[in-house]
Amino acid sequence: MKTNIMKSNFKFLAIVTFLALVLHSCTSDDDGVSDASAPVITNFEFGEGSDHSTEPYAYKGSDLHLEAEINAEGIVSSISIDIHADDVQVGEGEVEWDYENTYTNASYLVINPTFHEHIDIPSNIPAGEYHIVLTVTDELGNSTEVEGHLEILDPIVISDFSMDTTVQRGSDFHVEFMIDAVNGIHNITVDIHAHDLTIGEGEVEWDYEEIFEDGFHEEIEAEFHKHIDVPVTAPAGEYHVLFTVEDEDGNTKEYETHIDVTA
Amino acid sequence: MGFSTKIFFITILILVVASCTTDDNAAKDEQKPTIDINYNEGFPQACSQLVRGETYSFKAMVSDNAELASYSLDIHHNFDHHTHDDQDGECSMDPKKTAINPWIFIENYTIEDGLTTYEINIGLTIPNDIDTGDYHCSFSVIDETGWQSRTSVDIKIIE
Repeated sequence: MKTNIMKSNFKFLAIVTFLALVLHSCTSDDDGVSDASAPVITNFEFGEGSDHSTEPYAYKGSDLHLEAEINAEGIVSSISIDIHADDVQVGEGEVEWDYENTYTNASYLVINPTFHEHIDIPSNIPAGEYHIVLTVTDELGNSTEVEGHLEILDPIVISDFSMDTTVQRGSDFHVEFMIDAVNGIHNITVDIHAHDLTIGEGEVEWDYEEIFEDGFHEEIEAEFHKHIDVPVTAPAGEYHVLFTVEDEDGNTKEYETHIDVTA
Repeated sequence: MGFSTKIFFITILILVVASCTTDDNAAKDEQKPTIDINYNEGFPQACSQLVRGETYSFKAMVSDNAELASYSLDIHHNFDHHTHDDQDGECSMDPKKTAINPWIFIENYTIEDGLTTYEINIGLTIPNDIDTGDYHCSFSVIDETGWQSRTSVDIKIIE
């Protein structure tokens, strides 16, 4: 009787062990099927759109080229891009740029898509360092993120500005500055005007506007150096002086200052 | 060991082996489909010139080891020379220019079930009012597993 119990116990144990092994292997298999590895992103490049550059910078008002190779065992379900500034000051006339877009084009919803998009960079955003994040999500919900830094540059830069602060009417004043314009300079407008100056006897309101193009047109680097005549009839007082540089792509850069005209 | 226990063990063994076999069958499809325009009727060939208002048959051969699923045709302007083809030889490009009314054609098509080879054949009339110049024409094909292959050519649309 005792041996019988032992025997059936042994049989019972054997069956349980066997079953456990079978179940265990089943469990592993199930995991293997549902657990496709997360998407892999390689060769993420971004930069100036027009040159297909991989240098991480781009100019305001142009477009940004983005490209990445993706391999997603679990098949891509969406690709998103997020571009935001790390730490830039929003200046006057500028707006913060926070770009988000999710792409679900049919040609991306595969195992091995090549992500390739061009994003327009607004011209009224602050220049500086931006953070760019590419996220790929597969059909099982796995997602992979890559990130990088992008330098947004001004297409027109005015530097080394120097101008007389006062000028006697009837003579001229001196102004000079350097212009760097990656798209080429179109022209430079100088606008000089005053607000609410009393016009005395023999005086004529002075409102100066001149467009300079010769020697600047299509240059990517130029020195603006001019002597501007102030009419002898101009009322004395403070004048606004506004320089506007326009490039070949229609971007503009303004530089505003003041000058005192003395009698 | 009783007869029924033996049967029981044998059944379990068969189950284990069977489940292993099933797993093997589910081996992943690791092969991408192929796509080819390098045959006589393949169209457009690299550097082809297409005339506005004319109708053309865009043709490419696609195949897959298991089963084809869908394909797409994408034609967009390349006035800014942003992209290049994957075919031999460089086409001569017009100077860069700004797009005014460029032609953009992007369309996806499904392939009927069970096919491993298929000839893409899309009849398209080039609109009369679009910008002429350099364009990029890209075919892509996707298999049932989700692998994609692409091929693209530089073309020119002329008056």
